[in-house]
Amino acid sequence: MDNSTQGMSEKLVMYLDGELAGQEKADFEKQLEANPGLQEELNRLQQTRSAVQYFGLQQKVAGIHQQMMLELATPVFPISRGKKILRYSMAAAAAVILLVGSWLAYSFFSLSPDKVFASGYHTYELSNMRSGDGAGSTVIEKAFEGKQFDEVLKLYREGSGMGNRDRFLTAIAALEKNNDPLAIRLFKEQLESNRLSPKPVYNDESE
Amino acid sequence: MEVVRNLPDEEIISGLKTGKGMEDMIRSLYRGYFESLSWYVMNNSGSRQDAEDIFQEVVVSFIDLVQKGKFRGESSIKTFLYSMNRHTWLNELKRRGRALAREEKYERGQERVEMDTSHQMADREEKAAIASLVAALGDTCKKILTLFYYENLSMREIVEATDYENEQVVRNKKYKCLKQLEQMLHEKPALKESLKNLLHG
Repeated sequence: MDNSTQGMSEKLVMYLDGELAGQEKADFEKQLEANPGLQEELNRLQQTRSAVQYFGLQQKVAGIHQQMMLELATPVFPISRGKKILRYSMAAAAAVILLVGSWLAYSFFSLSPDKVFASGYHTYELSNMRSGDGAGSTVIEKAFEGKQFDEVLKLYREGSGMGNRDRFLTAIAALEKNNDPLAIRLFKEQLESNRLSPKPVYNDESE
Repeated sequence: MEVVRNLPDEEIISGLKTGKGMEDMIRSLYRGYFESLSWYVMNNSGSRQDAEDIFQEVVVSFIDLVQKGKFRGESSIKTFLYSMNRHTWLNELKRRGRALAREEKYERGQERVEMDTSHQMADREEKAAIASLVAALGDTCKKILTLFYYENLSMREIVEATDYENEQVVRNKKYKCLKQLEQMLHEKPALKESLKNLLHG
């Protein structure tokens, strides 16, 4: 600003800041009208003030921006239909896996000798049952073959035959009828008999 | 979880114009519109950081327009911000020399809003350059000038907020800082138009 003194420049800033009033302000505005150089200087100062205001606004928003980014750190974006279907499918698959896993875990942790016995027990079957002729069988064998376990026990009590085979079948029949003491006693007798015999039979089964 | 009420458009515009509750108004803009606007950027080749930067820039420009009376309320804040966001991001992509991965189809009404905002956002790079020049001032100058011209504090209040002895010392310092910045800004002919726009909008 060639034609403005330091004092004039300071006065221009006071005018810019709204610090002139009354006659002083009116006189200065007259000077402004008559002096394009002074007007130009005022214009530059006004632009400079706008630049500061813009910077101030930018700084204010920047400060809040940081806070808001923390608050909105986990934005939830709308998801597409395809992604939604995939998400539900994954959830369903996870539920099935969880159910199956739970069932397997329950089965494993609730395993007991009684359960294994219940699931693995099969009635003893005579080796000659497949032929079906029953020739040479004792009455106990025949009753056993017909799964008439009560009849087997009855015949035993009546003293019908007491060979190794009959004793063993009677013990099995006692097991079937939950007469464990009798079954145990007969199995023990069989083992004792085997111990004395040079040709043991039903040894493994009795054990 | 705290439920944050979304302020009505009229309340936000009024607050931004008068400066009353300005910070709450800015937070309301973030809570109301950041998610959807950032989604646009992130689904058009932008990163999360890009989305944040663009939104911040959009908010500054929007407030600047509102304070200069350039937002006439012909569209909702949401539509206006969406358009500014899209325009700013497309400009940024062009600047980076990238092609958009896919073209977004827009409704005609939104295109009209976009034309308005594109005019208002045309000199964003120059505005950024102007802000950089202010940022390049010394810390004391920045503080005094922003306290006086942006926060509208009186000389007495600035004396209380700084280590200066009295109002006259602050007044002299402020004068020197303003003249220094005036010189820095007007040494750059490329900023001439943007400085005019900053003043008149």
